[in-house]
Amino acid sequence: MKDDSNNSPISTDRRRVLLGLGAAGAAVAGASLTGNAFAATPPAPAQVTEAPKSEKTQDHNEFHGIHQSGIVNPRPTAGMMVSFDVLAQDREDLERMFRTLNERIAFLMTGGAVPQVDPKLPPLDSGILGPVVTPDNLTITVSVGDSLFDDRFGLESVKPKRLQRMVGFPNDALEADCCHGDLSIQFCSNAPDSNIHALRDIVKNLPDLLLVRWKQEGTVPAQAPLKPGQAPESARNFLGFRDGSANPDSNNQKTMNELVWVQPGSDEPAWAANGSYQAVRIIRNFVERWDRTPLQEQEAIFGRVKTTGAPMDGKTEADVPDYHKDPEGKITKLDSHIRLANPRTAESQRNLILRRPFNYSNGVNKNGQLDMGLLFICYQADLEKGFITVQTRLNGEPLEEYLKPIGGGYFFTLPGVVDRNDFIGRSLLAASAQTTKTA
Amino acid sequence: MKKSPLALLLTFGVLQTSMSAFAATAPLDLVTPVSDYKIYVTENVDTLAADTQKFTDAIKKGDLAAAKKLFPTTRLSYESIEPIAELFSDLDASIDSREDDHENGVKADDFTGFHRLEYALFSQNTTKDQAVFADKLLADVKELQSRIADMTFPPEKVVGGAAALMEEVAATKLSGEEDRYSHTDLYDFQGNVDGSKKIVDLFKPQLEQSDKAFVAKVEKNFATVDKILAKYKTKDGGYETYDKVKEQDRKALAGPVNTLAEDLSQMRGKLGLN
Amino acid sequence: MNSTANGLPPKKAKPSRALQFAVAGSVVLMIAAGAMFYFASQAAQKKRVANAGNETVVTINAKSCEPNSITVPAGKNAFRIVNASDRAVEWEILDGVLVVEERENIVPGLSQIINANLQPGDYAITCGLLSNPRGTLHVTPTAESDAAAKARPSMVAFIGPLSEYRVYLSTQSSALIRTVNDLQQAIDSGNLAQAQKAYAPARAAYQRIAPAAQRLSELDNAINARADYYEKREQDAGFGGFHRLEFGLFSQKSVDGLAPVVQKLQADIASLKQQLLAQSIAPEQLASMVVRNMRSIAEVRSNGEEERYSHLDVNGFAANLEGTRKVVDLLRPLLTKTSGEVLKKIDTASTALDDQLLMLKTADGFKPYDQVSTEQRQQIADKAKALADALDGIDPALGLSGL
Repeated sequence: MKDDSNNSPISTDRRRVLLGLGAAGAAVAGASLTGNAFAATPPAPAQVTEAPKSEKTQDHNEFHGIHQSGIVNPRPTAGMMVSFDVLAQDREDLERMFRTLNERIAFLMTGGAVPQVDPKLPPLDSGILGPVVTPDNLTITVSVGDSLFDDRFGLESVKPKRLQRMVGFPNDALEADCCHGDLSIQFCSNAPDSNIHALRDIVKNLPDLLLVRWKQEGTVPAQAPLKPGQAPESARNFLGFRDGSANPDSNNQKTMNELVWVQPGSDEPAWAANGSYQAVRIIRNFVERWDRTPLQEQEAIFGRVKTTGAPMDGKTEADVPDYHKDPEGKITKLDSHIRLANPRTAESQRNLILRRPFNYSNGVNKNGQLDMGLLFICYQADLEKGFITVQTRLNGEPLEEYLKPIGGGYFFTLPGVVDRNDFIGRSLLAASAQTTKTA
Repeated sequence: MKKSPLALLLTFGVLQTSMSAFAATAPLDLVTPVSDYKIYVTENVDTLAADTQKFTDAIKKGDLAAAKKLFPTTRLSYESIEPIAELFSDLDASIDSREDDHENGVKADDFTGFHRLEYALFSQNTTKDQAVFADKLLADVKELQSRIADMTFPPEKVVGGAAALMEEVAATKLSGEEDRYSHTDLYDFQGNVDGSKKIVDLFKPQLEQSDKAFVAKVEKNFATVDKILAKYKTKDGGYETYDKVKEQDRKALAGPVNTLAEDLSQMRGKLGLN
Repeated sequence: MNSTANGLPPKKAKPSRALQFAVAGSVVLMIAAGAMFYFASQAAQKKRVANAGNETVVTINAKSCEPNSITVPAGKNAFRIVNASDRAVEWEILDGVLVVEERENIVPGLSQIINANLQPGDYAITCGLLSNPRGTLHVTPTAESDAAAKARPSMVAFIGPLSEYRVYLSTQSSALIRTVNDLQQAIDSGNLAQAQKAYAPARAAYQRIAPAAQRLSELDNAINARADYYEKREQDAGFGGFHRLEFGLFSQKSVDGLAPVVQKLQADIASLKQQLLAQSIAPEQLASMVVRNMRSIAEVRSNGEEERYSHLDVNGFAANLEGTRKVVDLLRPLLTKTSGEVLKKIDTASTALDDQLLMLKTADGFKPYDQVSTEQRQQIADKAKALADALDGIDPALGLSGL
């Protein structure tokens, strides 16, 4: 047979593998690797522009649930936080916005063929992922900002109690262009392109209702799969340290109900039950300076061993530091990052937060230094007991020499969409319906 | 398991690890340079106080031209002692923060200090209503003077200050964004470089014991930086505005500046300090 | 002489172990070593008390001392100094130009015991009149002194305090220069009242740094020696410095002949500043020199002999206390970490002495000493002794005391 690896178009067999058509496709791919009769010859070496392969493009998350997704699920490789100004003029528009968002999110998270229209018209989809949209492990999480609860939509009286406009901390250099917003949407998936595809879909479908205010993409580095018996390891940040050690157990329902999810019957408005507070911080890292800092100083600043992520008095990342044995901070310094963030006293147990950050890399600044850092995202049932308390404890920490928070905001993550009759934001609208003046 | 020759040598302690490859600086040998540095800083902050008095007097008298002239030269002493000044983060913020550091920019209530006055003098071209900022700057500088007198200088901050000053240059001076209204960045640039060089000079004897080539390399880079900055000196001993710096000179400065930051980041380790 | 100028044993050739101490560098190591030290020194102390009969007797005659050449082992030594001359003498152990231990004002016909904790090396001893030749003291190493040298705590924690003290010496020396210049101007203008007035602040500036200045034996003699230490006392051609000026201004009540004296003093003060900045002070000496200074108040200077013409003794004591408190404050962070009780004792004793002196405060200074009663003088002596005893706790607490 003529060798078609250089000039001819990709065979249909190969295209099936690329699309990863469900289990059959995976089996085909797997079978060809074990060299059975289906592919008599080994695959030819890839072309320059041949699409990279993934067997995970069909991974998907349930859209319906009492909570939104993208919070306690394991964080995938790529994330994006987008903040919007809501352009809706009235409650009717606001409802249309939420319903349309609901429809788009449901589709994007499930995947499927894109409806084709007359070629004289612009296509309905950007086409980045091809004619059949793949979910690629996408989660799309919608949260509302303090500014949405102004006098536009009659939402004032149902604002979550602790939702507020972010105020700068002492080390902040907040840029107005990267802060706050009426609405935030967090996109997470296996690849930046899947997030971008989803964003472009939403922007295209809500032109009169949403305006992008700021966005920040991020990634986390992948590792080899865990060996049997190997403990899970947090992904590293751009300072080279594991980020997310000591996160509360996201698989523990009880813990999540205590720390992350607003509970029914709490002092929050009833509609907010099963939602959460989201704190977003775009934190620039001065990486050149960090890379010029002695290793032992880096470890003293964090309070952890760099290679393993273990605390200074431990062996593995999962070990819990024993501060009772170290009251003067000789082993883990009193002003180290982890000790300030969580001093592990009985009281500080109430201030735990669920962190889910990504690393971002934007560009170069005028001094020729790299603009990269942490897209910090965390979730908690009480914004004040959570992020605000923790960050206040961190004010003045030695790590600040290497950080400059420049953006972000506080949002309230809406409760989940429970079924087909529900839509994102429905409970918020329903709760505020009685209090609105008629037009 | 068969040990590698390297591992065997390490076991027998014959091979020097990189840690013990530094010839020891007896810690007490650092007392003289550390105290000489405090004397240098004290002299500079005393000069700063005297100059700030003159600067703020000119503002309060309404003498715009004099105030503009005194702005960059007054800042020189502050920029040379930056590693010590920034140990007092509250004073550093109220004396030297830039508009970027405040969410409400120039309108922020807590935007005070040199750059707030710079904004009025060079952007708004006025001394009107600036008395309150002038008074606060003078009070803050005097407070800095008194805190420096009472503070025992941590030796690692003194030695690390040489690198910290070059980090300051690398991060904020190459772009000309420090003094964005007056464009007097070259004065600050020189102040940072002089402060860094002073520290290297004070510790030169100890460093040379440890690594003569290191000192030679560092001095060469300082000389390159000084040579380029000198091109922009004016007849009265000041500096041209930053917009006059040619693109190729800006690039020519970046190399030695970043290399100095890299090299000086090793100073503490070479002197046996954490 | 094979010991270094600052009294430490010669540096060992191999750097790596010392560097490892320095790199580990933290108070942790210092405290651990200090604790080890302290227990070792307690044990050694008990041994020494058992050997209490081991004194070296030195007799000071009119023109020399006997024996003139002494050898003792390293560690705690007791010297019994017998004054067989006809005037009060002081006795010093010198390391090059630096005073390691001293005892002032040993009364004729009596003896005093001086305890000195000595490192191995060669020293000189003074023998009465400043014009008498010196003797030699050879201190041999012992097993304990070798072990102690090896176990020395990390010096990194002392860089800060020692640097600050050096800065203090610099600024106080500058103040001393200024005040002596004022004194010189008053003398030159012939104004006795002004000169008398200028004497006190100059003397206070000196007394603040006296503990450090008094380590520089020869220079300090030129600046601070009393008439007694000279053969012809007040009439001796060598008698100069502060007390010669004091004699002229307050006893003879005239500025005549003082111009060259004050000029020499200016030159000596300039030298003093230079040498103070050039001489390094070992951490253990920082504490021990203020101990000596307070003991000299308790045991000698409370008798009013120091400022016998001007009676400005309390002025000097207050300045000494200021200088002592400076040292304590510089060591405070280290002491707070390791030994809060020692610090408390020191603070209590220091406040007590301060209160005692404040009782003698007047509108423009302090009561002249000839108006201070014997009981009050005893009170001052007692409080100074209590402070000296409390300060003695510093070196063991910081792991610096050797044996």
